[in-house]
Amino acid sequence: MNADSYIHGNSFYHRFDVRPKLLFTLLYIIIAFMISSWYGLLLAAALPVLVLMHAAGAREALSSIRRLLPVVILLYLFMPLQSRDGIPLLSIGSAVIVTEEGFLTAFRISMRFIALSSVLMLLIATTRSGTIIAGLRFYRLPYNASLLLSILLRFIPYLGALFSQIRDSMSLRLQEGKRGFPIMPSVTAFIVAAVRMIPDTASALEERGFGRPGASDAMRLGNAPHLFTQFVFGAILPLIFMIAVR
Amino acid sequence: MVEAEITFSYREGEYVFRSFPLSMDDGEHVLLIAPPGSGKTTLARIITGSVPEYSGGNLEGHVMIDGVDVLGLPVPERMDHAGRVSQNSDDMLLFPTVEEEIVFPLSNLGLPGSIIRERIEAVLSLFSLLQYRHVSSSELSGGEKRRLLLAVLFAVDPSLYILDESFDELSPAWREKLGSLIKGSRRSILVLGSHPLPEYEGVFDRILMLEDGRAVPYRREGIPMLRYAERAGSRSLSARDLLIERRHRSIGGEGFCLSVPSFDLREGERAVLLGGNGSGKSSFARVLSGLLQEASGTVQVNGQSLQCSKRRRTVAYLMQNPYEELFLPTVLDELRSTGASDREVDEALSLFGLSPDGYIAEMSYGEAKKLQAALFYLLHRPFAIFDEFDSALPYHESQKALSCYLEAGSGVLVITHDRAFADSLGARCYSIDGGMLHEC
Repeated sequence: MNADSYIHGNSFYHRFDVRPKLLFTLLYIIIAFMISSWYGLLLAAALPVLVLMHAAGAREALSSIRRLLPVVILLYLFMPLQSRDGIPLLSIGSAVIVTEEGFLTAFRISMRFIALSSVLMLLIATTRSGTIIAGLRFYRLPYNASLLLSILLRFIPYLGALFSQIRDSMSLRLQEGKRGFPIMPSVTAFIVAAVRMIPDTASALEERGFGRPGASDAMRLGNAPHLFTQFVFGAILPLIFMIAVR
Repeated sequence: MVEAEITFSYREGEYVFRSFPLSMDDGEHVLLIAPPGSGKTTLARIITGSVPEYSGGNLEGHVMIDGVDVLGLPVPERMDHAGRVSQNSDDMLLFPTVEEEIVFPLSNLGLPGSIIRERIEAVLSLFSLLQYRHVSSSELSGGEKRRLLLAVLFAVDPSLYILDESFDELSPAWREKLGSLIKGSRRSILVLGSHPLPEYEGVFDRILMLEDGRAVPYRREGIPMLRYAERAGSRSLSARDLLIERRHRSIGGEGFCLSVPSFDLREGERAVLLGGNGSGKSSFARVLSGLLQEASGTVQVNGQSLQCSKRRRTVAYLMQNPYEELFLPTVLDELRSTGASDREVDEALSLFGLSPDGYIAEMSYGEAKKLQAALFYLLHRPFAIFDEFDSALPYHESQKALSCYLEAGSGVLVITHDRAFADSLGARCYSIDGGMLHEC
């Protein structure tokens, strides 16, 4: 499960210490779920994407965000069908297909999904895995839990990389006259590979000694410049954002 | 001292090993040669614990290492008794950087930070990985990944090293270096291989082969010259003034830059490409097959420039790691995904010696390579690139697959580190030196 998630850089977010960065990430996710106005949600989704563009470059940011598109498309295709009450936007005969409320529900969920995913992508794109583990340990999380959390954080980019690999592989099998890549075999292959990855990762972790008693912490965080100020910013910025857009 | 007797079956009654005995003296270096699917990787995984823990199956017997039966230990507790380098490097790489990959097992051993740092420096230097310290392991070439896994094993330094086809994918210089490291080691080392390599000469105390479930002394066999019925075509694949760039985005530095002034391959012709680890052989193959965009230059067929999408339908690319191309549940699913008729699928199954009911997850690395060859054979591409196809397969199996393509009229480019195998093909030779591809 070695997707290349970290992108080298020297942006302010790269230099933001991992401890306040983790606090900021957590608060941002909570706030994204508390905002209900459409412009607030739109901003909550757009802000991490813009910071990611600044930190990693537009190409990397767009390629990361593009991985979220299939889920967003599925949300817009199926969510409006779930809530049919309200002002009709699309009807066939007497049957209401899409309502304003259904559309707004899909919009709210998709914006929260983008906000959550992109702020996590921002974290792993600008922070090395070992540093994230050390940051989590600062909050008194046990080593094994910190390690598993850091692996889980890389799961979304890994799945993105896996899908690109499958798409490449399937595109090499295309017959003359066909374009793109075969969607159904690719989706089946993706599910098989993602499920197979779980025991493979677990066995590799165990063979490397994960779960042995007496494991040592190799990495500890030292003092960072202006750490207190960074903590204040990490906590205050999401709160200001919430007050501004609520 | 290693002393083992193992009986194992994945399914009731279908034995992989039946009272299989293995004994090694302290510090003894043994090479075990066996064809794909004979259970080499299963043997390695039984000793280190992931079989049957994560695969299922019935295991009986014992594996005594330093007087301890490791089969009775939980998997993480076996780490200081036995460790392995997996044939499929991607299976074992878990962390975003080279350094973290080495730190993790050492931390689990409970070593103090100063010792961990010392060992990291030592193995990074031993395997020339210092410049990749903060590079993402997914950005490494196949040979570099193999060196990283070797570095992890040497850093942990268990009593028994198991190297599963670890010479494959390494350049000749690194094979020689690994040979000398094994020779100089005081640990017991078991190397598993599918064919003899020139670099094995003088390295091992004993060379064994698997025969009827027993390890018996190895009988030397030479490499036959490739024979096939020639069938020339009219098309020619060429590259002109190509520039290929790849950068390590995890450190913001340049990975490599490869320049290809001129490359040509005709239908029905065979050519070989040699070059060190990380020199850009696979990237060149990805450009020819349309999976990677060149920085400048052109790829042409009969003088006409080809877009990436068109290249994918013209050039078959059998990747170095077959599992990067096999994702569907069974052999039959994979072969049918090519759109071939049932008759063609049956023909490919028999030609490449495959069972239709085989599950991809249960296939050995070598068998997966044969399936990869069968799959692209069914697509009838005029050109094919075999990226280190000879690793994990006996020579005659690799040659058989190549001759199927050549007899069907495909032009074949073989990327290999094995000079003896390259010579047996009697092919035109290209090589990458100093960032430039040229004819030998």
